[in-house]
Amino acid sequence: MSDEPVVEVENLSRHFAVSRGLFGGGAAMLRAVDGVSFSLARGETMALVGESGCGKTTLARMLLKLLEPTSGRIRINGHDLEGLSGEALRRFRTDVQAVFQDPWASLSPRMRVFDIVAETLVINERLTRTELERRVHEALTAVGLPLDAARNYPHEFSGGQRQRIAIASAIIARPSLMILDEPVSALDVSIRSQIMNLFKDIQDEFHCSYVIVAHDLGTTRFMADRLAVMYLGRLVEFGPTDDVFERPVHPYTQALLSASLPLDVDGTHKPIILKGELPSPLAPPSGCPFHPRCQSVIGEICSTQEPRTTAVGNAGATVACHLAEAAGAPSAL
Amino acid sequence: MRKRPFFDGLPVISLTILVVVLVIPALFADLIAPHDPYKAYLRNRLEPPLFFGGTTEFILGTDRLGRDILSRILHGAKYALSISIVGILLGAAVGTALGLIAGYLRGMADAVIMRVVDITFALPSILLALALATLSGPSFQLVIFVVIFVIWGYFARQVRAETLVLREADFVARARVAGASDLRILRKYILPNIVNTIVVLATLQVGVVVILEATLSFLGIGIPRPTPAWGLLVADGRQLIVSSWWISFFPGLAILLTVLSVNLLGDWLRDRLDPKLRQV
Amino acid sequence: MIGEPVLEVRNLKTHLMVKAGPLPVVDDVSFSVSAGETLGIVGESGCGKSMTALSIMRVLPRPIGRIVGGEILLRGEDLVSKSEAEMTAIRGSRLGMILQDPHTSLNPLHTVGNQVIEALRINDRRGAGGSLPARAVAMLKKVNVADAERRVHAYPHQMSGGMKQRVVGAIAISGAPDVIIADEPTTALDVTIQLQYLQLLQEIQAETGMAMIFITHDLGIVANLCHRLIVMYAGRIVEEGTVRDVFKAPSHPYTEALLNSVPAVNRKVDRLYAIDGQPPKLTQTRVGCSFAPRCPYADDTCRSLAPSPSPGLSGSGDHRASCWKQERGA
Repeated sequence: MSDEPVVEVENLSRHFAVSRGLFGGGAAMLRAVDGVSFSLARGETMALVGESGCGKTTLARMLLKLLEPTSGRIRINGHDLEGLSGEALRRFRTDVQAVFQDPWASLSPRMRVFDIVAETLVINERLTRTELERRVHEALTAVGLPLDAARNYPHEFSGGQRQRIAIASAIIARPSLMILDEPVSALDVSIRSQIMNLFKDIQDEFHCSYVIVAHDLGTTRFMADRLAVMYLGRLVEFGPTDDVFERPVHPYTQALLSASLPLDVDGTHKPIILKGELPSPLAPPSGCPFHPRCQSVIGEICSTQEPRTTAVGNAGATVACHLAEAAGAPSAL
Repeated sequence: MRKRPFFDGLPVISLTILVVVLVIPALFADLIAPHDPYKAYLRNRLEPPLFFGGTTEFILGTDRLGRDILSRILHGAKYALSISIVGILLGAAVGTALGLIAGYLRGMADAVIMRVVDITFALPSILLALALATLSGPSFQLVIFVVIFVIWGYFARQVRAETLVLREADFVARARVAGASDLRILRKYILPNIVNTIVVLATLQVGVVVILEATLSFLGIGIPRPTPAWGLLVADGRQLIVSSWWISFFPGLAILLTVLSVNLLGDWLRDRLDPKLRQV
Repeated sequence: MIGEPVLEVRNLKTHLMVKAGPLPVVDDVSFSVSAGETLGIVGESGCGKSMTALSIMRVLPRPIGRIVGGEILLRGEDLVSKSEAEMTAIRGSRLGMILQDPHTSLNPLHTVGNQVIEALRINDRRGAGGSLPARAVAMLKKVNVADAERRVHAYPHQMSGGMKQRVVGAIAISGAPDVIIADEPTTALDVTIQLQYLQLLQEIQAETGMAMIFITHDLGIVANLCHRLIVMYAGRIVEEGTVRDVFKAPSHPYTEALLNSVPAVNRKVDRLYAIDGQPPKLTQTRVGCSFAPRCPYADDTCRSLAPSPSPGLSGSGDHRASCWKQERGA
């Protein structure tokens, strides 16, 4: 294994022009992702967390090359995604796969399981029918589905089994990176843990990296090595999962983590209850976008100046907060 | 047990009527028609139908020239059926293709195609047919052309609307991630998921087309005389409607039965094939 | 403070009449909830928790939903035998409901103020307390809608999901109901917004003393919000008790498995506890305990005979579980 990171994201932004109403009145600019940088080592799992409008899904879609960035660059296994074509694009399409949230919407109801699972190979590799069948059977076995499932249509399966079909089709080309967009949130509680364990097993077997988009922090803690917390398009905190969970630096991270209620009946958990609503991403607050809801505002600087991304500790962790900057940490970028 | 809105026999009855009135006559008119539809039995002109003073020789009576109404209706089914099938297949093909392009590509292509649809809906089809008939004379091809012109827009609109939804579906995103080309996505992911809609729409259009063909023929700008098209048969009796009602009545009845049963069948098919209505 | 029982459900049975035959979506369910108390109902999709709520409100899907047995007593009055007109009067005044999706709970064509006024007008039993618009503003303030004087003129699409859900809450409590039924009210909300909303519900309850039934699949919310809970599986109650008793000593294997399978936020684990298999389809004929096919402790008795609730667990008459393991142990 090389030391080269599987994902490198540098100053990545994606803006959308949003038209206002029937008679125009000028388009507003939605900064869905704004100046995000991070990198992910091979075989590791990174979680993207944040609330609606934070840009986590837009970021995931850019990693899948379903959306093009407005500026900045993404390198996957050393290849810049911009201008990828021909053989390189074909390799990318087998190397990076995705599992989406809703297993009812992510499988075409008119295709048999065999064709769904085999699709990536059918498109990108010339295989004999026997070889294709062997690979499909291998993938179905890896996700714990019976081989005769291949003949059936998706509607004959439950939500959990359908998600297994989606996973089988993602792993069949043995990708080095999988983007998991809320992969268990549409599933029942008792099924979720089956699927999360399966993701772990697959990682052990195929040594792939995951980028998982999640809003459930329990899922994140279980799955991820690294945690990226986003707020209104910006990466506000990034670092090793355990460190971030145990010593969150950014006030938003602190509030977000405490909002996830533990199974604790002794009343020891004292959540931080934020004031105010999530601001519209179309009109983000000035300065630090979190300042109107922040419980630790340090002064005028929070509403006038955007905090720089600052390194904390030595594990490559970063945070974008004036509080951390004031603490005298050197700037990371 | 829950009461059903219709008893289950309805589609069976509709289908039976359709087969008896349209399909069997269209395929086997030469075998089952008692007389030559073009032959004029001048001595038997304006004979009333059986039970109205007629004979078993001409069960549904004869027209002004003594031609057997029953035989003419049976042969007329051929034209109704062939025009429906050819017209709808071509209309559906054109409409589906353009609807897919509009819904999938959006942007300029969408704007142009949908404006053309709006224009075709705004043009009165009868006037168009009149204009074309003046130029080239009435013909089978002309009727087919008018049919395509009238129905393709319905297919284009419906297919575009469904394509707009399907192109955003997660399984299409997954196909893109797998490297599928646009053509493959349209063929393997979008088209199979709208086939049901196309089938239902096509069934419902049969009624429209049969009426359209009859109207054009009635006006003398459809299939030329003396072909026994249903619309012409109705037109033949219009001056004698009071004294010899059967000349127009029976072809009219054939049109009514065909259109009604085809529409009932289409409604039933739509309910059966629509997954949203099938749940629970 | 928890007072006397307000709502008692006794042996409720609800069926959905589908082509394949009647589906027993709620099967012999009994519970009660007292003034000032929050009862959690947890379970997975299809376990009957929402159908129980819809049965109480008498708003089952028409025409297939039907209450086929049991009683629903609101302060001693049986709701099952009420006419549709009587239920309309009871809903919204003595029973309030908050549904999962705030985007479809409000009418997009009317301002939120008018929708609150409408609810106030319907429930105007006392008729006092100032003009309706002023009371609507007061209601919005009560549910912490910031800038209520201006927001009262806003349309639903101009508000965020969290704000809309507050308005839904204002409408639900406008008649000062005896019981409020909240069916996954925070599932569609972001976590920090969810927290604000849960706090609001608690405050309103403390102020009005109403009873609340909170339906959710999130055990973290139950632990922090509810006093008692019932756990449902395949249309039946498998365990009930105070939140403390059930969380400390889960006595039905399904409850135990549910609690174990939630990934912890406060510590790192290598592997999650997973329950094998799927919840049963209600169309299957049921023999024995519904959970037996997935239960690690199941034996022949479990597979052939349905267990009945055994009370007196955790040294309290309130903690019951329907499991042969408990009957044998007790």
